[in-house]
Amino acid sequence: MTSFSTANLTTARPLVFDIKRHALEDGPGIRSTVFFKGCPLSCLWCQNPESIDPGPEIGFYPRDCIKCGDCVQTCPVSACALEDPFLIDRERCTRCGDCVEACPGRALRLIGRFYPVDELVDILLRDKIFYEVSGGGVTFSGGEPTLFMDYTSAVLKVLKDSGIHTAIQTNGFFAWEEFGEKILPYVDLIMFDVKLADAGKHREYTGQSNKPILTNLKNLLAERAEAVLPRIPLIPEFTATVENLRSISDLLKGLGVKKCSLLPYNPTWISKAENFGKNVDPRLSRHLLTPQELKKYRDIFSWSELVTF
Amino acid sequence: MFDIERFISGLSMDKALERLGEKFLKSLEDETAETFLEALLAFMKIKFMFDPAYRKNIEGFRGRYQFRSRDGGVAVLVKFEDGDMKIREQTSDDVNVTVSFKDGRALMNFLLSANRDILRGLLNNEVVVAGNLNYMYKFGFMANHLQLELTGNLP
Amino acid sequence: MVTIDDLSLKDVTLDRLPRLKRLRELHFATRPEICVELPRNITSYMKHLDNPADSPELRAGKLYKYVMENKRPVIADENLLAGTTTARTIGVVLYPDFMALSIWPELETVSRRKKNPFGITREEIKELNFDIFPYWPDHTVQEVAKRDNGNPLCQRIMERIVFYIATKVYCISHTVPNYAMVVERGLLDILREARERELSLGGSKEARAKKDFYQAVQLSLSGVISYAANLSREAERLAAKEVDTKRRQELLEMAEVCKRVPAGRPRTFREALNAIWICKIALHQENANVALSLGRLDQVLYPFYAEDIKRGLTLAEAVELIGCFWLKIADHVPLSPETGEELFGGSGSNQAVTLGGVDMQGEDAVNDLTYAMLKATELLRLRDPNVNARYYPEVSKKEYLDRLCEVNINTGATPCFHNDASAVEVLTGQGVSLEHARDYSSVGCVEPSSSGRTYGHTGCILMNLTSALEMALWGGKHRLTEDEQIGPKTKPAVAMTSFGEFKKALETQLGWLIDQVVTLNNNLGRAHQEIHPTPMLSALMEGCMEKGKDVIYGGATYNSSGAAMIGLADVVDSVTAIQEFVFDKKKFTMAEMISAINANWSVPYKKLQAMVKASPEKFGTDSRMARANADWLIGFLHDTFQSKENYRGGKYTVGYWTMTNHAGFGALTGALPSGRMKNEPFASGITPVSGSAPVLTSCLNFVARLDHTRIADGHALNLKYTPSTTTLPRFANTIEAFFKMGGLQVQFNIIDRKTLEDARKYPEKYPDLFVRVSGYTAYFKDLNPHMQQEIITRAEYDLVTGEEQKYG
Ligand code: SF4
Ligand code: SF4
Repeated sequence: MTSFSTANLTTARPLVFDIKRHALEDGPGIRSTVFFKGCPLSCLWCQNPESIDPGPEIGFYPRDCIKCGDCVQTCPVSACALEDPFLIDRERCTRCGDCVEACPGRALRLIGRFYPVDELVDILLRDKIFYEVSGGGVTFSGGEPTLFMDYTSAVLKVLKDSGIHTAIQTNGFFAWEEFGEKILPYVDLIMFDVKLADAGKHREYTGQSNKPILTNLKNLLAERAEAVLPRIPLIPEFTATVENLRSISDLLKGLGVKKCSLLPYNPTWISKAENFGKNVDPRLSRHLLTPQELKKYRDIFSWSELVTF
Repeated sequence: MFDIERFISGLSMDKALERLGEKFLKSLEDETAETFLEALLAFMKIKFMFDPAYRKNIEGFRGRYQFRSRDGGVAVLVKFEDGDMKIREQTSDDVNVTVSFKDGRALMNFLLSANRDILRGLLNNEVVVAGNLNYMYKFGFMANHLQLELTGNLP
Repeated sequence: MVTIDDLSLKDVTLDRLPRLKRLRELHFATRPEICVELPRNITSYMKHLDNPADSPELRAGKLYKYVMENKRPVIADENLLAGTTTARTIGVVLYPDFMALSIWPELETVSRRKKNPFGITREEIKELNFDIFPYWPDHTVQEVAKRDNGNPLCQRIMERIVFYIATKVYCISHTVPNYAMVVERGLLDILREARERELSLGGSKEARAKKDFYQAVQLSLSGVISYAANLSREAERLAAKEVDTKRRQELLEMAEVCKRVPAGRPRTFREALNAIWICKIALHQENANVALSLGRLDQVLYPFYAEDIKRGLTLAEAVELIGCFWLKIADHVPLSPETGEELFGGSGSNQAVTLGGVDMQGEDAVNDLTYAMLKATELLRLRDPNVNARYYPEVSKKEYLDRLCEVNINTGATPCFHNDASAVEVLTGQGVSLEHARDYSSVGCVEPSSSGRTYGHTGCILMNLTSALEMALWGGKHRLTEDEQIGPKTKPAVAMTSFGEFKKALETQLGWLIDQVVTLNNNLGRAHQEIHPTPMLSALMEGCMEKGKDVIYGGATYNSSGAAMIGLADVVDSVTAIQEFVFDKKKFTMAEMISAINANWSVPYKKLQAMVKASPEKFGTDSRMARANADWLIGFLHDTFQSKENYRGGKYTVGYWTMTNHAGFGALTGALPSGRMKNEPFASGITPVSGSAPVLTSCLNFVARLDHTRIADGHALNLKYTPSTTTLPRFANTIEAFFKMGGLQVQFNIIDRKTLEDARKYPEKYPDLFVRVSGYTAYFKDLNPHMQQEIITRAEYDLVTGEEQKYG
């Protein structure tokens, strides 16, 4: 039915780049959030740059580096240099992981690891009591968790059997039938990103059309309205424009949405991205939104219940 | 151990006190404080002889102390009895307390409260006391008093 | 019962309680002074009146009668309660047969020392030096034990400081007396019972010993009653001189109160408080106050409070009276000579009050008085009493936990939190009946103990676990004592070929160390039996009257001894590092490990250190290896200590709380295989090493799942939360989850590093800043530099991210 394909991405084994415990902002209560690597979109403002590429990457954590130089010695393609700031030549690097092995202080780490379902479940169940006392649970995020429907589904099933509240954060770019069959029955909350109303801009800034996304949102609302929470990221100059937000607001209102969530922009990710050797688009703001701006945007959605966690 | 009697012979009481006091203070400044113990004991002894207020400390007191340097170079037995203090270069097991020390400075650091570095003393295993610690506490008071008095620091 | 609506009592403020405000200011403005009254009275009694032919009990009974009768009644300020621990506003108490003589060398410098100086006059120095101290050198508990046992190895080892400390040389407090007995019966009734029991006995030898005990109880309690009468007369005398009518009225009321209590049963809340306070003073003459704890005051005092409220007492007045009591509790400080100050200083008397929890039937016992006491704690922010809150998940109310959290946020450091469900399991596991277990309170730092019926000297041993680790590495030698063969000769670590072999060596050294310290504690216990029975404490302890025995002979209903272990996380991490890197992964050899720690992880070993430190196999994480090692170590210590019997026929229990000893022992200890550098403080209590447990939920999980029935002497999990992120319900949720997983105790500093660093630099700006150390609270300015550093660098969790904020 649609023109998109994620086949090339999903053939890879799902890699997890982080399991955040005691997460308070990814749904109600205390949660564990699983971040997958790999995303069919490539939003220009992506705050988890390490999440776009589905393959493993090398991360560098400067505070753990004792400047021993072993990585430089080890690298077969001379991609590391012991300079200040530390450099990995990302073009050259083959992600062989040899430097990670060599690094004594874990200043170099392999980002992206495959967890067998049992192991992941085991980790997620460790904090079960925290979920219980706080009304929390587990959230799957990314990257894009729906890239790995079978895997996510398998984990979700076990969690549901253990009575745990489950949530996913999705960009909405998925195959509806498969989602309806593998994910939908096992999630209690779907945080669904709505970024740009304008199809052209959507394609320009995220690399994909918003058509399938909006169709999926419609289907989802028809089927499980109570489980859906549309989320609108507020990126200055891109999504956080009165025009875009008005259009989204009208659209959601038209779909019968009752509550949604606004995600204020936070520029602290920029330095983190730079640690991964990512280029940051110079048009991106390095400032927080002002309270006045925030209020202006919130007012646009005053018809709905604005949810924050 | 040097000969106190000879050192003070022919001196007036005041002069003798002054000389030995100076010698004691000087021993504190010395890098290794090698002469600390003998200067302290000598000054203590003469104070007991000439200063009745100080002598009160040992009236009716009996106590036997063995001081020993770790290398065996110094072994002094100090006996307090009936208001009298005797210093002998000998070893004895029949004592209330035995103090073995690395060197003069270590002993000084252990005994005198002023400018003392407790942690250093412990970390370097500088002084080991065996026997009745309370006797050591008493000796500590008498030693500190001398230094405080000489430096005009009595409360 | 809870009848008040506003649990925070927002209307009750210090501005509305000017008396408390002034008393608090006075408290912080007053320098502690050495008081010679008690040692003077004890010494002159021993010199002139003591009859050595009497039994130890009788001698003690007569002595304390004399001490109490000759204690000066002092009414120094506008506190509503009468009586003072010493004759000074804030006094330092000297016990001549315990450790008073250790201050002897410093008598002439102690008033001018940098840290925690004590005031003392020229005359007092003279009196101590010439009249009081000279009587004692051969008569202290420490020396009597030494003489009786031929200066045994176990005692010589303690003098090397780095291995262990047996605290009976200071006192035997560390217990919760039965104050319920004081307010329900009054001392006269107890005295009458002792008399009746004495008269009913025959003439056998055993009966004679009991008779002596009953006589000692009567003698000493009559002394307490005389002291109260003297206080009453003093109040009358002052009233007669007083021109201010309001104050005169107060003094006359005080005279009435002291006429009535503690001899008779109190009729009002104020009388009940004053009765307990006077008894506390009395017990404090008998024993130095190291964690002589108060128990469940909100339960014991509730009937009096409730009656008074019916008669018109206001909540504010109740809080004022509680505040007066809290300030009284803080009217003395422990003696500490320079060495003690340098290594272990900064502590108060660590008197625990326990609030909330369930009653003997298992029902929620939180009442209005619980909240009034929390309010007084929140308003006064004092280091003593150490407030311990009990919480029973599912039984206690959520709003109660929320209020506890609120007080912790507002004070930064108190109360600490105990899990009733686990504590009750701990105690029943030690043979305490279910009802009695539910009636537990915290002793000192954290040790759960059935209130008023347990003599558990819960802090009699402080053992440095890393000293056994060192001996396991060096075949029974310790770096501090150099070439001396201290422990048994075990295979040198460099020659070991398996992890099992290393563990065996560690078990051998630990087992040997435990033998030594237990022998020493038992020797000291017998020295106490010989020269220092405690008739007043025994009168206020369930079991003694029936058995006709002093607590020191095993009179209490329950009789255990508690040993606190220092350096748990550091040893587990060290053992785990050896397992992981030397034996499993073979990344380097034992010889390299030993060279590295001998070199204090200096330059050639920086890579090894980075490797060890970065390993996720750590105490307080999800590491299975570290967990297995922690379980093994805790199991071994528990089993070994439990197999020993104390001098009263009770068992030894093991706990993990450290007061300031983790900093003190740390300062004396070289680099460790965990990557820790020389002289750095150890992790406190049962807390992970700072920087090694980055995830809050893992950390709580790790500790909660340790087998608490093998931690029968309690534990202190010390965490720091970043203030800006510590809000409700987040804060409460972490505690609730920890308890539901089985956690026993947890306590928090809610303070950021900046403030602490500023307080270190400018102590004068923070005279009353108080922090949780490990178990109890202390004023930050009083702590020695090692301890300040430990608190500053202690693991701090951000409650938004749930991650440890890295230091540096
Ligand atoms: S991953 Fe391999 S190629 Fe890349 S920097 Fe490390 S060693 Fe070099
Ligand atoms: S190997 Fe690791 S610690 Fe050494 S220089 Fe490279 S990044 Fe730093």
